[in-house]
Amino acid sequence: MRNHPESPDLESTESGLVVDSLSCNAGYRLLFHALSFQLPPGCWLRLTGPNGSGKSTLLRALAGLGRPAEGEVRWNGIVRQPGSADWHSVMLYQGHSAGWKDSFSAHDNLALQQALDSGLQTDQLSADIDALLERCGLHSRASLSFSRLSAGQRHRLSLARLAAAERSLWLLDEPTTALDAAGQALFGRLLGEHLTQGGCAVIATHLPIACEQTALELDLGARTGTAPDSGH
Amino acid sequence: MRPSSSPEPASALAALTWACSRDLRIALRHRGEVALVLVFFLLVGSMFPLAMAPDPGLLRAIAPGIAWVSALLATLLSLPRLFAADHADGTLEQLLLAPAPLAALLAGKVLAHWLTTAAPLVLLSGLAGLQFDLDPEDIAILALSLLLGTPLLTWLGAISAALTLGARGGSTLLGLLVLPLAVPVLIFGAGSVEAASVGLGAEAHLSLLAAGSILASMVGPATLSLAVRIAFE
Repeated sequence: MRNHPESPDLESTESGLVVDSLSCNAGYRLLFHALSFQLPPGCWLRLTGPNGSGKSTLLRALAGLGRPAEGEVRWNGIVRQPGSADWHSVMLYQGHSAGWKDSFSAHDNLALQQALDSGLQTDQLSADIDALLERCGLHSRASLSFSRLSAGQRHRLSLARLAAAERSLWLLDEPTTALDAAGQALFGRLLGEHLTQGGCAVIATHLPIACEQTALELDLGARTGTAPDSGH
Repeated sequence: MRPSSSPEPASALAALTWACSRDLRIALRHRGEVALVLVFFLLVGSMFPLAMAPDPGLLRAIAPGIAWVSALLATLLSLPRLFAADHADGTLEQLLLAPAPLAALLAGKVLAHWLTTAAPLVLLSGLAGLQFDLDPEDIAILALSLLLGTPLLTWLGAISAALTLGARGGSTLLGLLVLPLAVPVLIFGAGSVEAASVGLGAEAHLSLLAAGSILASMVGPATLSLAVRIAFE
């Protein structure tokens, strides 16, 4: 795997996320082949491409969900082991269905998820759920059952989770869909804070994201069916 | 980076408690679904006396078998509830990616399911026994056999439910998968009451059920987490 001529001592010095020759299939169709990129601390990657080009599959493969993809994913030079608790303490994946329970209120949903995200440490359970909800504009809806929230408000609850969970790597699938202008600005601020603290993010989106830090771009549509690029 | 802020992985006990209390709270919100299973159990049991000759001796003789079959069917009815909703709303995905041992989280879910389905059945089996004019001692043994046998039944069902996740006609397939596996539980469960009523003593049957349940509780969590991971491939 160490065939990068430009960085011979890659593993000793690298920090952040490194994806090395990742390949993934959907059925018999090759979604992407030998995909390699590097994401240093404080950077984010905008993942674009037409529907069905494999954005969600790539995010799931990075998170370690689903069929193991070929290739290697490293975090701070250490090969990621899908399913390991260490990896799960580093990254946060949020897909289209975020795991909120219809029968719980926004407050209870967030409190439960936050407890799980923080590794169920009793001393960290006192995170201020109300302050988080207020920041994400859900304070007046805190006791309302989740099933009665609008699509945008549901996404805002996911933003509150992002703000609460202390993870270095965000893997987000369309985080700003259904958000109003204020919600999108809020997401931009959250992302900015995350990056300033040295975090990384891979975000699949079709929408512009209002973030000061410029993004690295990866267009899966432009790569599909083409020969593997640099590094060979 | 933010290495210092990364949370420590949760302990197995904390994960089990979290998942169990969460599912119990959900069951509390959906009391109707839980009650439905119990009403089903009593209804199935009441069908047999209506369909057969009104002979008290015959009914007494088949009562343990009927109670066990009813309990098995009621458990089968409740099994899709264990994972289907969590699979649909993305919760299962988040459990898989949580910084907590998956086996413990799933064991918590199974425990909550046993507490909300099988434990009430154990209590209701007394009522079912009365319907068939069983002796108090026989009713006690029936309840005890259900108490010792249902954990095994629940683990078998949970693993099968995880394996049929996302399959079309999953709940029918679940029945086909669980019923043959449940045959030994059924034989020893119903057999315990029979053995006791003819004076042989139910210890052997009950010990086997207990051993099966203990074994299932030991092997179950790891097997179940494997089955859930397979469902996501």
